[in-house]
Amino acid sequence: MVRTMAISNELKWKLFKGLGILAVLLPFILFLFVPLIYSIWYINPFYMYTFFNTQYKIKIFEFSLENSMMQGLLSALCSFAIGYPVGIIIGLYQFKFKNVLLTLSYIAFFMPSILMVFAFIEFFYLLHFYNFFGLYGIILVNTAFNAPLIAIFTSSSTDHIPVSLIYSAKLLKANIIKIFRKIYFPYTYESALIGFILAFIYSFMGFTAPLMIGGTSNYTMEIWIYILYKSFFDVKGAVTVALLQILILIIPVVIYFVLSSKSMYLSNLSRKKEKLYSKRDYKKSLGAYVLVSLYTLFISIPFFTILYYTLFGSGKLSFSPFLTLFSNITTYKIGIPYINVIINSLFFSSIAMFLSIGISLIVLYFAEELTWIKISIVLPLIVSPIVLALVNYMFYINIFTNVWPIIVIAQTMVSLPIVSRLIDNSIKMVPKNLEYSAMLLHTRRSDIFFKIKLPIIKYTLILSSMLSFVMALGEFGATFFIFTPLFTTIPVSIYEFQSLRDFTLAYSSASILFVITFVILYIVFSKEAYKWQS
Amino acid sequence: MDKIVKGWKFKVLVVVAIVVLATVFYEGYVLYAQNQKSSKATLVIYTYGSLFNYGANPNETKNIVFGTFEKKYNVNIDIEYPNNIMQALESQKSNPQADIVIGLTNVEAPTAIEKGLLDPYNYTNDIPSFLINGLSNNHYLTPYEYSYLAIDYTMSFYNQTKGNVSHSNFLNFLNSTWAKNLILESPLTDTTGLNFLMWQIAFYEYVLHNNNWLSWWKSIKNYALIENDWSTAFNLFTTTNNPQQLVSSYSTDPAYEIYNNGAMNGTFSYNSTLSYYNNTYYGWETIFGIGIVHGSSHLLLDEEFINWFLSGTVQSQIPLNEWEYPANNTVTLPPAYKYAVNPSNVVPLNNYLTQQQIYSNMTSWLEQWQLAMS
Repeated sequence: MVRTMAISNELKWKLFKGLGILAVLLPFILFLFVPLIYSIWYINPFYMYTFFNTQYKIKIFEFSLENSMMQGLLSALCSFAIGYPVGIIIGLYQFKFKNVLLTLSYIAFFMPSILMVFAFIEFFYLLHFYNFFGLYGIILVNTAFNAPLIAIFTSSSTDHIPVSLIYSAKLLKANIIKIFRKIYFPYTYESALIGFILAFIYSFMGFTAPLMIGGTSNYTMEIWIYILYKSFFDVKGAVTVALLQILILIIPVVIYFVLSSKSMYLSNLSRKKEKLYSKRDYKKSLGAYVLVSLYTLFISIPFFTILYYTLFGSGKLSFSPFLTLFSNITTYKIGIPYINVIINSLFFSSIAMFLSIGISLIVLYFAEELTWIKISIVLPLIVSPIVLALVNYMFYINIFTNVWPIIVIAQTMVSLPIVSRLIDNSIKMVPKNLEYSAMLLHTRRSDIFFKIKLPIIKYTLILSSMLSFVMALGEFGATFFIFTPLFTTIPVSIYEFQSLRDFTLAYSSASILFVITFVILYIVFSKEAYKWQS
Repeated sequence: MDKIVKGWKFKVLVVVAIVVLATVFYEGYVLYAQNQKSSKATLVIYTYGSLFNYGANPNETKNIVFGTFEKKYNVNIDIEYPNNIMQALESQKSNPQADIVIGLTNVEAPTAIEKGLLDPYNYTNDIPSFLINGLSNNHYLTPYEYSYLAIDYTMSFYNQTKGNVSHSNFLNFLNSTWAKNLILESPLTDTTGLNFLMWQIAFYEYVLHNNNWLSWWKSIKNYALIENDWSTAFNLFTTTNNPQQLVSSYSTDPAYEIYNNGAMNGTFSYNSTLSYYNNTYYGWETIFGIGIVHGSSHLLLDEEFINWFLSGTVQSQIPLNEWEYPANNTVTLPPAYKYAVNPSNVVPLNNYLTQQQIYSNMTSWLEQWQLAMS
């Protein structure tokens, strides 16, 4: 009787699990695989051959691929050179305003690309340097995005360095180079490498920086896709290049997946553990002090430029740009009142946050051990926002009456790979003995998940939700590709104002985005957050 | 009860309920916003962001142009600014969202017509035939303004070149000192850039009788600055201390400059020139058109709007707000226009490149350009 009940429960669970897995896979099937397969069918694989069988296209493909690779590699290397040492210092030292620095680092990475490029151009204008263009400009912008990412990853991995090991090494009079080589590096290189690969992927798929400051000689594959679609009206050509870009990105994404599966990056960022080096050590270490100061200065450039131009754009301190933003002038310019722009942004980002957190949790609940499902979740990484928007737009434009669901889907897909890895790594850290003890006490699976695991990773969940929200809030490429005026978001409004040469409104809108992002992320890193954790 | 409220199932349900409610409210807001517009007939217009934006009071001008029509015909006008008008029309071909399009030029017209994006409307009152034939002789687009493309130069550059810039042509830019001063727009992303490319090809092939027009681009590519759009290029050109002193723009710019900065006393800070060769100025005429989108649901209203747009009331707003010549030849030009390049002294190169040639060669020209600049 007991055996029959056990089998019946097992069957029920399998059925339930099957439904759960289907629920997880459904968004990927509907919004990734089906649109991709549809686009392959739409272009007809033989078209690929025809497309490249022309005199100029194959050459354009070669140089755009070369540019993407070059920009990806150089940007990742520069980001690593800055982010890695800064990450180690942030991880090991205790110093004033560390939370502010971490918050700034997060904002820098999640900042809308349009804002970052725009801010750097204006910053160089302030310095009377008018030719902030070409490859160097692109690398600089990409580094400002990705060095913070590597710094965050590296700093979180320093939490795993056993303090006793360092003390022993010091007692044995090991010099700093030896300590770095034997202790710091082995514990941190994997996380930094993950950051490096992500930096490569994001820079390879670069869109805004090469478009705005790169010039034709620095056009990437992503820009060619955009130009084929928007300027040549060659949808088939755009899809062909998009599919090739996906194929090229499979290799780095697989490496990212393998490394991130075993690494604990970002998993315990919030742990308020004792730091190896005190504030006093920090002040004494001139190298660390200078490096962190320069890094802070570097990543603060866009923020201060934006705030400066918003508040002092007219030559004296004035808040009137914000009043203009909420006046009917905005409606004339972009078609809807600015308050509706804010409502759109907040709504899309909230739904995208809910979806990405929900999907990540369902995966962990039903398929914690199923690697292929986790791979599916990371797959959007190989599909750039422009490609994601292109294939979804092609497939759904005649299905949805409005485009907003496609915007939400694109924003969810963009944040999902990062958020899901974050939660996955965090849940791996829950002591297994707790789960086993609960199972021995016949605790239901759902109760183990919701009453034991989730409360333990509560802080990571809050952090992930906030990051997901902020990523969706700042998403520009896909939203820009799809939006209609009724569904304008804050990043799109910045671009629109900038296109209309209304810099006052562009800066005011940018400041609003910056303030929302900063407040959210600062809360995450503030003392309150540690209270939630405890 | 307390146990239920604290239970995880309750929390999950609350979160899901909030999300569902938020979605319902948002969808309600979208429906409200759309219904608000549809209580009256709505004319959806696709155009470019700077339309009527360069005058003293853009809001007032827009009110005269669009507000008056709304009141007169008891309709709503919904103006939308797609990032790329042609692409927006093409992607919505099976389900058109716009009724009227304003701002397609003679270079884009052949593609728009060939792709079946427009419906013809025969409006010829007070419009010179050279404009109608230059834009669309089968009336798919009606001209509303025009001007020659030009190279704007600062007076400082004029002095540096001892006045040579005022009768220069493309060949002068083979000199790197000149090329370093030049700001152009990319033909891949901008209409002005596209028209400039046509001007350069036509000048090389039909004035210089040299088919190797790409050699000019290869020669300047390491020196000239290529911007994504005209606004950015022009804004950079007019920025104080900017090192570049030449920009590809329009031959009416001197009128704008005198009117706004020269206080009508004839003091220029910049002026314009075209391609001067064998004692003749050659130029490329950019003709802007208004048209009815194929599949528009209220053709009569669309036609009324075009009639209104070409009437003296709207056309008289063109010179000081669009800084172009109005297509309606009954409109009197403001005095500032005497400082603009006189179009009657220019040989239009448009006559050498037929619309069929433009349509057939456009992709190849753009690809060659892209490769040359890479």
